[in-house]
Amino acid sequence: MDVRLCVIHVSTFAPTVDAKQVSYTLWFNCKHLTRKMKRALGISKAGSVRLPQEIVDYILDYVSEDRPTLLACTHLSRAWCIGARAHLYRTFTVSDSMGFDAINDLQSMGTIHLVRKMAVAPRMFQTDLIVPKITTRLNAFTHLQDLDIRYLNVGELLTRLPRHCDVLKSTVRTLTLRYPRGSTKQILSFVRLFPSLENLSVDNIEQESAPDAVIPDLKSSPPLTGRLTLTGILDQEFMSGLASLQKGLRFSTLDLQFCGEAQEVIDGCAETMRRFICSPSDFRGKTTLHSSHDGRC
Amino acid sequence: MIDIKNLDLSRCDSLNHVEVNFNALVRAFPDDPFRNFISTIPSSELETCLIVSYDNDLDELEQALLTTPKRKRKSTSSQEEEEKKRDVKITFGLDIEKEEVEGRHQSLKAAFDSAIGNGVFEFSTSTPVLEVYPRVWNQTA
Repeated sequence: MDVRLCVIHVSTFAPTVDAKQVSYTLWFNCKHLTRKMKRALGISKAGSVRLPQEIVDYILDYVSEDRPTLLACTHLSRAWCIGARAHLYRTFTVSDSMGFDAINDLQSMGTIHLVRKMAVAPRMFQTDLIVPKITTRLNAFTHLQDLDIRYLNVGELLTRLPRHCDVLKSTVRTLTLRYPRGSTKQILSFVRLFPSLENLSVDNIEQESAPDAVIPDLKSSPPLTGRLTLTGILDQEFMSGLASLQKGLRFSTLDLQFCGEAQEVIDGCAETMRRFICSPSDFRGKTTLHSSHDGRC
Repeated sequence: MIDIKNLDLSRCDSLNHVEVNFNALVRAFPDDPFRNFISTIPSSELETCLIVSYDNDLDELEQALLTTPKRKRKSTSSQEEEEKKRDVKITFGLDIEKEEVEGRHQSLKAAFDSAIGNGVFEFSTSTPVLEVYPRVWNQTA
């Protein structure tokens, strides 16, 4: 009961709390426990606390967005270090071709398996330098689940794939393509290279016609059972292509932002769709490009 | 842009939640926007509907709430009318700047209470909810 009280006390801190404050508060609260309780909780006479890992994880989840605090937590103890590192390395962002060199550092530190999300957001003039490196370095991320790529030249990427490549990354569950370049067929072929894909987000396609030879004939069909988010898609050909991507779409959430006619996609998801979103904003507390919501009244 | 009026959601039998922009809603159904929109979704599993309004829409939203919709009288008995009521919880989400929350919230709350009293939402058995999402400018974005 007292441990729960301690954790509740910790969780009421502002997000800027650092690890020293957390440990001090735990020590302070434990001073009021009886000797029997301290022994049961594994608290030494000096006041140092060995909390169950699930409680440590609970605290770390609370400060997961606060990088300085997480860094401080890695120095606290082995138990705190393991949990804090999982949060620190969860997202890997590449903004230029040099960013791919950091993959070697992750591999040498043995932390590459902690990366769950990779965001590739190159500067405009470096987009063509990124594409060749994606195909070669993606497999280094053994536990990657979420891939978010901006300005991807899909047509060029497909030409660089090995001749009989059917799978690009089987662990990826969520794929976000922002301003991809390529034809409808190329983009949909690229989507099918992720056989475990559940959530798909496509944001403003820069259409390019492509010779048929560049489009691989793929037989895989990803589950696509999660969320489909389409932003700024006015091209009817893409909507039709998506609707006929495989026999019946199975998305449970359809989110259309600034899109054109989408009845074919709606009909394609008719049997499985549980949530339909057609409002140009995100009310789930995420930071948008221009503003953020600080909670609900 | 998607025209809500021409949207056919009749085949979506498992639809549980819908989110729409108030601006688009009132353009599609100017007379009785909330009732008419819900009637386009026949799914018996529909539980929640979020109608989002932004700073520019608030005056129009207030007006829509204060206006009692004119509905055609139907020949059906009151008992049959009762059976047609839907159990859909409608939430009005106001996406407004943090500084404007206090000023706008009170006037909209009054209009909202008036709308409930005037039977604007009588087509639903659930009481609608008004929520505010204060927006703060993010310097780092």
